[in-house]
Amino acid sequence: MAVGKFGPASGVFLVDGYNMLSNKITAMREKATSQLTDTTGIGDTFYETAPTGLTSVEVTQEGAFFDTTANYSHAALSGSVPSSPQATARVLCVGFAGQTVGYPMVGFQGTYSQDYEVVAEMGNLQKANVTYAMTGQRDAGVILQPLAAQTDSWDTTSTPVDNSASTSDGGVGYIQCTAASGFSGFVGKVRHSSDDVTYSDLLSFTDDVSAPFAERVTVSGTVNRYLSFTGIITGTGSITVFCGFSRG
Amino acid sequence: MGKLRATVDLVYPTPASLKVVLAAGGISKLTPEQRAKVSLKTVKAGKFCDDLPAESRDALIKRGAVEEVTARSGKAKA
Repeated sequence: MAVGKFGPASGVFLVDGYNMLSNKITAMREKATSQLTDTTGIGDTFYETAPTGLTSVEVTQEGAFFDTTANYSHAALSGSVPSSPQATARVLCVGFAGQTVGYPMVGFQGTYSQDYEVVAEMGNLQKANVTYAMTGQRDAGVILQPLAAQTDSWDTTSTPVDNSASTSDGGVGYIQCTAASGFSGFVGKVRHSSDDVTYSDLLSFTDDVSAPFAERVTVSGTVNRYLSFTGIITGTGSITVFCGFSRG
Repeated sequence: MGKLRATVDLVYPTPASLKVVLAAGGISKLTPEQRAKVSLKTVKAGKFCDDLPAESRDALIKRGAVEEVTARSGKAKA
């Protein structure tokens, strides 16, 4: 991974298969907070705190255009504020270092669009701001497949992510598909290898060609040193897919 | 030794391409020219994979991605 600073062009923001950057957001923020408790006691000369083990995460996007074009902000956000306890959680992936294999991404489980704010003001286009709240967990990982259009089955074994060693606590895969047309089948897979010679399936995402869609799949056990992504396509057409993976 | 059967989908170089891959140090180390000439074989779960690279065999068996089966019964060895 390139080491250094990154600018606005390096943002990644995908929610349920919607590429939120298409809406020209002007700010995005991921904030993880650890709850601390006061542990100061008599005899201490300085306030002390200790983590309780509870964390919370909030992701916000600001300044997006309110756009009713198909697959833009209105389609992505209207009706997404939960109206019942049974509301479906969203799948969210963010990144701050660009769309490149091996670069960091963060996926979120149990994501809800807590606040959806549409703003109209004189002399400006209507804007839409969103705050996402998480009820599950935060999975920090790496990009295996940058968001890109594909027209045939493909794999990234030529550019796998090398973790230098295997890990033993499973992992989590995220897929985001922003566009699909023509194909009758598409299965995304994460494959792993201990030697960069033979790759085997680690996890498979659900066969789906109804973009936009997103999915989070967990796997247990050993995750080998090398990770790659494979897209297996049936039929003729085009599909635009992103995949990230977080080791446990 | 019995036959080898994949329990998950596998992708590995064909015997003719294996030497090139090993000399390069892995699939990701191949140059674009080498990559264009190398053939990778996909074996679906449940199919036999006796031409699996010897270098990968033990690790795949150990983690259950490949199982040894007796030739006659087709059952996995205990």
